[in-house]
Order: sequence, then structure tokens, then C-alpha cells
Amino acid sequence: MNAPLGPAAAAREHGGVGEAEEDFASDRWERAGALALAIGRTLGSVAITLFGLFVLTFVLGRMLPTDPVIAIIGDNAGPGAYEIVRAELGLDKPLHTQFLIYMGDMVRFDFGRAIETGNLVTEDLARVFPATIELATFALVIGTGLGIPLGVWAAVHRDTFVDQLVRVISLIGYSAPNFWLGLMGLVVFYAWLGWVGGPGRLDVMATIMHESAPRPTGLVLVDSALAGQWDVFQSALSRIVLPASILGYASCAYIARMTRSFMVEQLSQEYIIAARVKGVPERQIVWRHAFRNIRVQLITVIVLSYAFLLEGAVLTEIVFAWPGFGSYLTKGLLKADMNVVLACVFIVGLIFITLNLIADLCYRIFDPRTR
Amino acid sequence: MSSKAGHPTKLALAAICCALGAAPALATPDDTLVIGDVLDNFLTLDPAEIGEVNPDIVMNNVCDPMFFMGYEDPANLQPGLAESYTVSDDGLTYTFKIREGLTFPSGNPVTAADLEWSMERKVKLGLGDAIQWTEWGFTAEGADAAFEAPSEYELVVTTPEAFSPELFLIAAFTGRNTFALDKVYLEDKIEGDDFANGYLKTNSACYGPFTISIYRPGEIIVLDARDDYWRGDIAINRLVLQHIPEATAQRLALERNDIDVATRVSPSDLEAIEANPDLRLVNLLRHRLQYFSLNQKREILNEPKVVEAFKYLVDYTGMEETVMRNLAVSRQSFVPIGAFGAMEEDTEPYFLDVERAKALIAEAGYPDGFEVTMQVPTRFPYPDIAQHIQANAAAAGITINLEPLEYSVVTQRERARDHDIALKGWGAGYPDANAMATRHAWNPDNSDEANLTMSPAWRTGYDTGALSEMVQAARAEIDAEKRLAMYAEMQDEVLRSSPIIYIFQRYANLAVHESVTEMKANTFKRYWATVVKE
Repeated sequence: MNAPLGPAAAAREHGGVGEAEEDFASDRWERAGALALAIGRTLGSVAITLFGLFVLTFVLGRMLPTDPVIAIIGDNAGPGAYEIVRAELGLDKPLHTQFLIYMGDMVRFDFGRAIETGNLVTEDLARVFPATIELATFALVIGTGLGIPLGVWAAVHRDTFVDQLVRVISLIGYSAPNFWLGLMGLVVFYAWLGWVGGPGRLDVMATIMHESAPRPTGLVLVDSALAGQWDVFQSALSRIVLPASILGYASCAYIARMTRSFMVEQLSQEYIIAARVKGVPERQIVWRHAFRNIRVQLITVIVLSYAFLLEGAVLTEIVFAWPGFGSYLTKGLLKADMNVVLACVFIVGLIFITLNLIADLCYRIFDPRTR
Repeated sequence: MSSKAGHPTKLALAAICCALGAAPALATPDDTLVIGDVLDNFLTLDPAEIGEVNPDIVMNNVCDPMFFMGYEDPANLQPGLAESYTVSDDGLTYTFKIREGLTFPSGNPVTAADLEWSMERKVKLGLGDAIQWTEWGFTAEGADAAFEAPSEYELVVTTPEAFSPELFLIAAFTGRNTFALDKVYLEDKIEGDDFANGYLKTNSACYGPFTISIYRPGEIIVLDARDDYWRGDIAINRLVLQHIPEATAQRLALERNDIDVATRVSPSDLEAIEANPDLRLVNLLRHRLQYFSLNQKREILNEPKVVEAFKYLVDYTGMEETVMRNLAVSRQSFVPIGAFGAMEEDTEPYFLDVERAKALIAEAGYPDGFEVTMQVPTRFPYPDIAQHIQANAAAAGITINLEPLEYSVVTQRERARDHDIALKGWGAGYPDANAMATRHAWNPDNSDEANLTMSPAWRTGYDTGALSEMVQAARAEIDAEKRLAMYAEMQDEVLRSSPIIYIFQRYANLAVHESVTEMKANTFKRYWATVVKE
């Protein structure tokens, strides 16, 4: 590999030590500057993206036919109460003023109160978001842990029974509605076999026990383990495994199909044929050569899967009474609760941006060409 | 390499195995009642603001009113925070003797001053639920004079006009209107002129059988029983409301006795519940009617014969026996069965008769039919009912386009008189014909400017004529027999002339595990303090 030398490296190559140190320092400044510029650009684009997202969400939210005032005052109230609540929500002001007020509050991270719960939106998010992170992460571990080996297995045994089997498994994962799978899962594994816990994050007594313990992360599995509440941990584990498996199955189907596709492409490359001709063991060809070259593409697939899981699996959350982000956002939308909707959009925007940054970082680690 | 690749799979399998072994976690003790419920729509816990059913049920177990509705017969008043009352001869002044010796969770005594403040704040705040006072003529300006506490345990309420005392007490003194809030405790929770509304949105400060210990709407609510409750010992120590929105998931949890009561029962689960000897179904006939209203601002629908035709396009009993089985009974009067003044069930005049409807439409001048839109809430059973009416209307030559909408949007359009036909429901808060009459037979000014949005009669453009005055007269009538006669007349007239077509009266279905041996509940209240569990 004859990579072009940077100025500092070139100086070192030519032997001038003092000059080289000077150039090396200047090279560092150049790199730092470039890095700062890149960070500035990223932050700028993040800010513009978020602003665009807010404008779009606000306009769409206001175009919804739902009137949040009715949701608050109920069917029975008279026009006086309607006007009071309308003014309280600021809906009597012109649209652009409302938007400016929302933006001003947002900059101060003041998302206001949620109509649905009466709580501060930040308090609600601190409760629902960890629930979703826990579920989505667990689901992703299952989805990735099963999806990648299945995809590789199918690619290696392309057009055989194994490949067809993986295709059928994936198709079911793609097409079976999560709502139905969730109910069937509850009927079989909870009601009939009693292998897993029922709906909710914890059973009743575990909830009450956990209430008094410190909850630094909001992740029940983590917090209960840290507090040594193993009964609570068991309860949480028994209740997360089924919804996470169902969500994980859908992810697994997607990851398996994509892995298969990437691997099939790699396994037909000339360098693989050359390796086979050289007598490299097949296992080594698959994992050390072909799989290594699909890692970057797989990262994108996995990150996207995670983002979709975090965004919320509303139907799964409903079936399993999982107090997560997806159902919180959906209820906010149905009530036209702009405080909730805009806060959630902000969070979703942050999720995608963060995951993109993580994906970029992973690219740099796994693919030297991107450094 | 392959062993490394296998690690995630093994980890996932290990986690699953670990969880499988852990399924039976912590058993619920016998002194804890667990109710599977839908804990959405907990917009507020403030008694001055509550408008939804579930927060009302919870708060009726956290706060005592001045009078209770009877367990079996809701119209039978029982003493609560008020031990007794007298009414002045002119019927304008009510004097209540307030129960002594009760203390709020803060330790402050419950006094008449707390009740006075609680009632005044509700009227002055003017939020959605203020109508429970303002519809009796109370105003924010007059509130200070209307509610007075001349001594520690004496409360005087002065009404703007005379009402039937039985009606006034059951309508205004058996629920949120008369919860006593801890005035002293709440003093430093007040922000500006909010009367502590901000604090009370998510907290409670009143006297009742339970106190809230965990409050997480959309997830779980835990209530702890008071050990010094004045009505006697409470058999359970703790009440847990667990959020399980899906009906089948509730049924499965009930079958495993992870919950003791399921409050959401779907038609598809009824059979399984009825077949399970460990479970029993409790059907409470709610005072909630389902109806469709024909907007009289639309020219075609304003024709009386067209209105009459629509009344013959519903198979009331057929639907009761099929899609609404165990969910509702047919009801054509605007007064629910069980309310004071309700007309007999078998006197209802309408039935499915497509030919007759067709003839009426022709007589109205539309022999070739016409086209209208029906706004339909998306949740069950509204789409099923709408499709039924649509099919019958099609046979009579009327094209009904169904517009599925979120329930609150249907309400919003109806309030704005921006609909052809709206399909929805309406609930009464107490068992007296007046509860519905003041909304469905009362519309003193049918103009758009009147904006009487609280009245479905106004929303529909139903000119109630002399009925509005009769509604006012009936609630002032002291003689019960005369009042009954007035409501009978009103129902006949509404049945004949109203463009609001009532079709069903809904049940509230509860499924209860055999472990719960006693539980008092009626259509308006759930008395969780009476539960005995073994």
C-alpha cells in the first residue's frame, strides 16, 4: 500500500527533525481545524434539520382536525370553559406567535405539560423513553444475534433447502402483524405454558418494591440489578422477553435478508474464488474474508433497525401494556397535544442524528478508506 | 471465528432460558386487589376539572362526597361528609351538618370551610366541570355568597332558584362537586389564581377510603387503604390499577389471576369468560346512550318525514341480539332505563321497516333518494352500527357516505354544527331524567350565535320549542308525581320530533375472578372499599 504521505510524515521521511516537529504541529492544527469545521458543519446541519422538522411537525399538527380543547374539557362543557382552556393552551394566538412560543420554550427545554397525563412532558419522557430503550435494545440483540447467522447460513447454502427455510422464516417475520404475533405469544407462552410474565414492565408487587429503590437509569433491568433487587430483575426479565422476541423477530427477518444479500454478493467475488483455489478452509473464507467485508453495510442495516425500534413499536406496546415512547407519541398525536408531539419529534430527530453519528464512527473503525 | 459468531445467539438463548425459569415472579398478596384497566385519559385529578370516566372512578375512591349514591339503588342517598341536611321553606337554602372527627391525609381536620372553598374554586375556575354548578345558576361572581360556612361543621348553600331537593342533591352533591379539598394544606400550592389547579392535576388532597401512593397514568396507579375510614374497616389494604389496554390481554391476565378484575371485555372474549368457572361477568347497565343525530341545518335532513324515515332504518332488537349482545340494550327514549322518569322499555315505537322509510322519503319529496355523510368514530362498536344503518338506508334509496374520525373530532364537528349525521354517545351523571333533559330536550335559542355547545339539541339544530321551558319547570317541581308526568310528556315529544335518534343503552362489562367474593358497584360508581378478596 503506497498511501500518499501527509506533510508531517513527508518531513520525517526527509530527516529534518526540527522542521519536522514544526510541520507536525502545524499538521495537528490543520487536523484540529478540519475536525472543528466538520463538527461545526454537523451541528449546523443538525440544527437546520431539527428546525425543519419542528416547522413541518407544527404545521402538520395544526392541520390535524383534532381539537385538543375538546379532549380536555369533554363533551359536556359549555362555551365559557372552552374559551378559558383555549386561552390557557395559547390557541387563541396567531399561528406564527404560537410557533415562536413553542420554539422559545423548546430552546429552554421546557416542553410544558402533557394533556394526556397532566405531567411535565420531560417527566413523562424520562419514564417512557427508558422503557423503549430497554425493549428496543433487547429486541435488537435478539434480532441481530439470530439474523446475522441465519443470513450467513442462507448465503452459504444458497438455493438449497436451508436458504428456502430462512426465506420462509424471514417472510413470516416481515408479513405477520406484530399485534397478532403478540396476542398469540401471550396466549401460548403466558396463558397456556406460563413460561413468561404477562403484560406490563413488571408485576404488581415488583413495581411496588422497585418504587422505593434508586432508579438512576430508568432501565428496570439495569436499576434492579444495581440495587440487588433480583426478584424485580427476574420479574422484568420474564416480562420483556416475549415482546422483545416478537420485535426482535421482525428485526431478525430484515437483518437476515440483508445479510444474505450482502454475503451472496461477496461470496461470488474473485478474491473468494482465489481463496478457495488456494485451499483456505471454507469457514475461514466465510467469516474472515466475506463477512469482514460486509460489516460496514451491516452497520447501516442494524442502526436503521435500532432507530425504527426506538421510534416505537406502537402495536406491540399496546398488546403488552408497555409504557413506551411509541404509544406516548401516538396518544399525543390523537389528542393534538403539540407539547408532546414536538418533544417526541425532537427526541426522534436526536435518535436518528445520534445513530447516524455512531454509524459514521463505526465506518471509520471498520473501513480504513473512510478515515 | 465461528464460535465467536455464535455468541450473540447463545446469549439470546441464555436470556430466554433465564426468563422462562423466572416467569412466576412475585405473587400478589390476598390483601391487594388488582384491576386491569385502561389508564389513558388521566388528564387531571382535580375534581374541578375532571371530565373523563376513569379519573372519576379513581377519585370517587380517594375522596368522599357529601352524599353517596346507594350501592344497589343509586337514587337512594346515603350520608357522606354531610350527616344530614335541611331545606328552607322557600327551597332556596340548604343547611348541611358536616361530619366531625375526619382528618385529611395531612392531619388537618375536615371542616365546612374546606367544602366551602372547594365548591367556590370549582365555580370560579370555570373549567369544563364547572358546568355541574353553573347549570343550576351558580356563577363565579355569586359563588362567595352561594357557599358559606357559618361554623366549623355547618355549610349553607343558597341556590339562585328553587329546585326539587331530591333532584338537586343527587345531581350536585353525590360526586366531584362536593369533594372536600384540604384548604390549609393547599394554601402554599396555589400559583397565581389557579386555586392549586396545577398541583391537583397530578396530586390529591382530600378525605376518602384510599390515598394515592403511586400515580403513573398509562402505567400503574396504586392506592393504599386508610385504616381509620369512618365507614368501617376496609378488607383490602391496597388497590392497584394496572394499565392493560388490550381486552384479550386483560382476559388472559384474569384467567391466570394476575389481575382480579378486568374492566375491558371485548365481544370476542365474552364466550371464554362465560365458559370459565373461575370467572364471572358483571354487566352494569350504564346511563349512556348511543345515538345518531341529523343536522337540522341541512335542508334535506330538516324535513320531518326524512327524520321519521331514519327512525325506521335501524334494526334495534336485531343488533341488540347480535353485534351488541351483552354490550347494550336497545333504547329509543332519551332517558336511560333506571333513571327517575324513564319510560317503560316496551313502549318504544320504532322498528326496522325499510319500505315505510322509503315511502316517507318519497312523501318528503325525495323519491329518488339523496346522499349524506355520516361521521363515525373509529372505535368499536360505532363502525358496525354505521355500516348497519348505511346498508338499510341504501335499501331505502339513501346513500350514506361514512367518514371515520377520531371520537373527539366527531364531537368537535357536532359542536360546530358542521355535520350531516353524527354517530356518537352521551352519558348521564346521575339517575334522573333531568340529566339528559337539560341537554337533549333543552335548546332555548336555536340561533348560531347562542352557541349552546353543551346541548346536543342545539348542536343538531333541534328547535325544542316548549320543551325547554318544561325542562326548567320539571327540575323546580317538588311533587314527584307531577315531575314524572312532565318527563313522560317530554319523552313522547322527543321520540316524535327529535332529529336525534337514540338506539342503544350501553352496559359496562366487568369480568371478576372468583377470588373476589364481594364487590359493590353500580352504574355510576365503583366502591372498591367494599371489596372482599380471598
